[in-house]
Amino acid sequence: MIDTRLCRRFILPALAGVLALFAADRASGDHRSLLPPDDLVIVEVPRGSELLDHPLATRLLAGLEKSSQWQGLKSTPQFDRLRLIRRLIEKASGEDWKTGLRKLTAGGAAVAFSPGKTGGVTAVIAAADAKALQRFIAVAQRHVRSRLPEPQRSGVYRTVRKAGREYTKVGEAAFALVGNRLLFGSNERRLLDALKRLDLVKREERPQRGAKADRPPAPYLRVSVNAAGLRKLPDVAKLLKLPAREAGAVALLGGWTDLLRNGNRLAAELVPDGNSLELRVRSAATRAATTPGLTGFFTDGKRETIAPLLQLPNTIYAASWYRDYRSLWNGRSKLLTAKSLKTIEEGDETIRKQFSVIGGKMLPSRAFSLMGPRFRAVAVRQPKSEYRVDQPSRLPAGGLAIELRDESAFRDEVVPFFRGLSLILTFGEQKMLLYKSKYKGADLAGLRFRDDAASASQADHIRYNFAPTYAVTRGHFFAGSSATIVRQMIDEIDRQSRERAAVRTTATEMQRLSLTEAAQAVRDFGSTLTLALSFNGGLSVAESKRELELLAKLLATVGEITTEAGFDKRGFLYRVRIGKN
Amino acid sequence: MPDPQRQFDRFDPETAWQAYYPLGTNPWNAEKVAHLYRRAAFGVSAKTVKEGVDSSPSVVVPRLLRGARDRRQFDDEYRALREEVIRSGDPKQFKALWLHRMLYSPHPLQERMTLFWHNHFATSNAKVGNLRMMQRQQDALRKHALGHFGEMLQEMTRDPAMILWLDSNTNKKGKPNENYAREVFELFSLGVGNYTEKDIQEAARALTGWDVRNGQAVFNPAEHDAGNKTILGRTGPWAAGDVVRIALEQPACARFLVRKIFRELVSETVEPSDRILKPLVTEYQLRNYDTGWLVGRLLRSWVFYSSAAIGQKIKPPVDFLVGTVRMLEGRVSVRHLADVADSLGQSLFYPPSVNGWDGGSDWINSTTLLRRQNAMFEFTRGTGPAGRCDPAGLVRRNGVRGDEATVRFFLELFLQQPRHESLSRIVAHLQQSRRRLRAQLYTDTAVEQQLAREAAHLVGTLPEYQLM
Repeated sequence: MIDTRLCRRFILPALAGVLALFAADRASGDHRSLLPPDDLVIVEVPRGSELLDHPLATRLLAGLEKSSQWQGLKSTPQFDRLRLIRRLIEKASGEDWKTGLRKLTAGGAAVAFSPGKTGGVTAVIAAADAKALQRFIAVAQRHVRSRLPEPQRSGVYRTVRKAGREYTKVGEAAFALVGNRLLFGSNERRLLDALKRLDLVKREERPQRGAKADRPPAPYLRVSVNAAGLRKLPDVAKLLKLPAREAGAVALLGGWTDLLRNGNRLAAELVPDGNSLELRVRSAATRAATTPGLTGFFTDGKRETIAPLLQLPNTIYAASWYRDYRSLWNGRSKLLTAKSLKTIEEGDETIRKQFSVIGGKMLPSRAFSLMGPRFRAVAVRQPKSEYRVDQPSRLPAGGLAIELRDESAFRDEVVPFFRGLSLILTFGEQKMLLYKSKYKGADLAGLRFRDDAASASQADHIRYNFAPTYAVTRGHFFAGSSATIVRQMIDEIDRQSRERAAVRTTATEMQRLSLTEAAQAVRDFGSTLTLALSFNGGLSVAESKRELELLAKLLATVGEITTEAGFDKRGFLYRVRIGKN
Repeated sequence: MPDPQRQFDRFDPETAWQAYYPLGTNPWNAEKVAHLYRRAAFGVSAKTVKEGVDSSPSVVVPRLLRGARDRRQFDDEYRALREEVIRSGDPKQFKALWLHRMLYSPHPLQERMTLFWHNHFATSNAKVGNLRMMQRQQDALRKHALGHFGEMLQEMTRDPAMILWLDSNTNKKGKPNENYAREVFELFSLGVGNYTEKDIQEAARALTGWDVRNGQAVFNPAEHDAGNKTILGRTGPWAAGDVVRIALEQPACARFLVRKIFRELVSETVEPSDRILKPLVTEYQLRNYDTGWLVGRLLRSWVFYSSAAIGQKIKPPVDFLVGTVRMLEGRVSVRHLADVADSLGQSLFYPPSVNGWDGGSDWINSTTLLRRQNAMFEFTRGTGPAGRCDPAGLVRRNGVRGDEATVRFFLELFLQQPRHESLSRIVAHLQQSRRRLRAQLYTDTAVEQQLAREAAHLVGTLPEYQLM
């Protein structure tokens, strides 16, 4: 039996989604004015077909189509839905599906959505001409009827004439064809509202000939979120509530969640930039409006800056960010409930007491206060092992560099904690070894796994990618998953110091992911990944190797992803650039 | 259904083990080919069944005993995977590795018999705790799986994993540990009733002096009891090799092994008399325990192709799982397969005790039967860990069209009974499903795919599919 919910929940929304992907530049502004302005999410895809033609997307899709995972997807029920839509489009247009789809969506598309009982979906799609749309709807209806058992065929589509309007009901959902536009509502009320707004738009419509050239090119995709509405959702309201109960969440994400608290709208745009794509997410929140106590998440854009990214040999990932834990600690009474406050203050003291047993005198709060606000992280390929054991699969090494406010005090108060911790680990199940070394005047200390034959025969060799190491030198605390990366970070800090490297943006966070190096990292870890793909994914060894090489090539195709986030005159902007020009 | 024991008892020792040849009333057909491959190679594809029917047992059985000629590529790939698995130290990966080999080895009969010997010399990594040692033991079992049993028993006696498993490393001069001595007679060579407690004590003295260092078995003469011992009536300054040699000289040894291999390959529902097994026992011992010969003889015999053997075993979990994948000609996550085998009671490298898995009806209970049904669903749903094992693809490749033809195809593939009594019921179910799927607006392609999956699932959950 046909399930009319299927039409409502799947076919038309899916159709709207796919059509929206291809929607062309024209009239997307018009479409937006047909949608409920207060809906939680509004998606406009003014240049969807161009996104698929973008060089980066073309290369990625061509690569993906070669993967066996993609081939496997083709026999899934989800893929069958797309196959159905493709067939209906080809049947209705008499052309290949891409051409047919472009005509069907030539006038642009937009979808609005709100959750809950009072919410729903409203969508607008405009075709090149009314006939194209009529043909498609007719073909789709014929197809649905042909699939139904006889008694249900007649009742599936009901034509309704109300207040001078004519539309079709499918279960609870409804759609109407108005000229070259298809308007869809997940319920009758949403459709009628859209029709009313359409009448208003028609009355106000002015010829826009010639205006297009003056406007900046529309983005491929635009998503607008009603932050005020979002804040009313119970789960979000709970997350944003201050004072908060979860100290950890505040310490990690407090500043970011504050952006939701302060702006009434979030907007994201995907725009082309030569061979790369840029995703811009903007919040109307301002730094001045940041909740007191959480300002330590962001630079002031003047005196405070983030440190330059660490550029080590074979760097896969580098990040630099600003986080003033001292100001966060000092502002804790405004951010946390009395109970949470008591818990973390007691915890602070308890940890100090526990570690005094092994010679430390560290208060965690004091350690955070001794740290400066400039943090850097880096991940690099490590082509060589620091161990004697054969481990052909090489995992990247990771490192962290934190600027210190008071290096001497940090060394005196916090380093004993790390020494004590290391000592404890030597008595653990793995019986790790303590080691020390010197490098350019710095004392490096850390732990190593035993790599004698007896230990290696019982161990997971993946561990021989790790030799946790730390050092306090040059006004920094360095920690790394290997001694090599700590030495490399020291070299890099020396270089930056010599060259007086600095960041000249107001960014509060920067990241760079080199997918070219990541591609090589996939190859470095090839034998383990081959095994995983073969044993978990059911691929043959040859197929697994092919898939990995394909993945490496796809990563190399993209080249790199960079992000930068910070306040500007218009609010907070998060930019993600995908690809390299 | 004829009583298998009565059928079996009709055989005469002189002719029972002679090579079967097709007769008008007893033809070489798909049922026999599939039966042979189920027992010898975990299962078979529709194409191989067809090729087998067009051939003869005198060609197919030697081919199975020999394996494919060119194994270099498989062996190279396997070695690379094996080293990666051992480096991971993950026992689950190690189980998966063996399942990978069972599924794709160019010599499946060798794997089948390696599994048999793994159960015979049941050694658990739960105590050994070292994948490299377990791998070396498995390599030795594989090397001798179709070779001479005496050589295998000698090697097992000095195998590091076995030394740790049965405490031979604590068996010292003056402080003997009888574990290995007991099992070498009771479980590995003679069987209960063919030795005395005194024989065990004396054999334990002969086995003293072995230890494991750096993963290798080492003999320390200072800890070996070099005095005279009397074992099974033979007196001398015996050492480990002599214990094995003396055991192999006992007529009980060949009797014990032939009976066990008969139960493994031929039937677990009939109880063969000593009289009927005698020709096999005599020649097995005369041929210096040449297991390849014995297996070949059994797989070509009249008994093997009789109703006393066909369908007279409950599929062990590994046979059920590997066999299904082989029949569906697909690929699955072997790691997931290992998890399922564990849940069905056959955790490779972790036999429950030194006795191995009891097998037979112990494989099936209300829980494991339900899990088998669930496993069958996973194999046939066309997505998930067994997504590349899709019955829909198999049906398409074989050009099968229509509900009845699809059901017949799977009844033939899984049971070799295309006219099985459930045919009409399953066809009716598919027709109902077809209406449902069409109303859900799936394309015709997707409907056909889904019906093929449902047909495979329903046939695979018939009680007969649990038999081999």
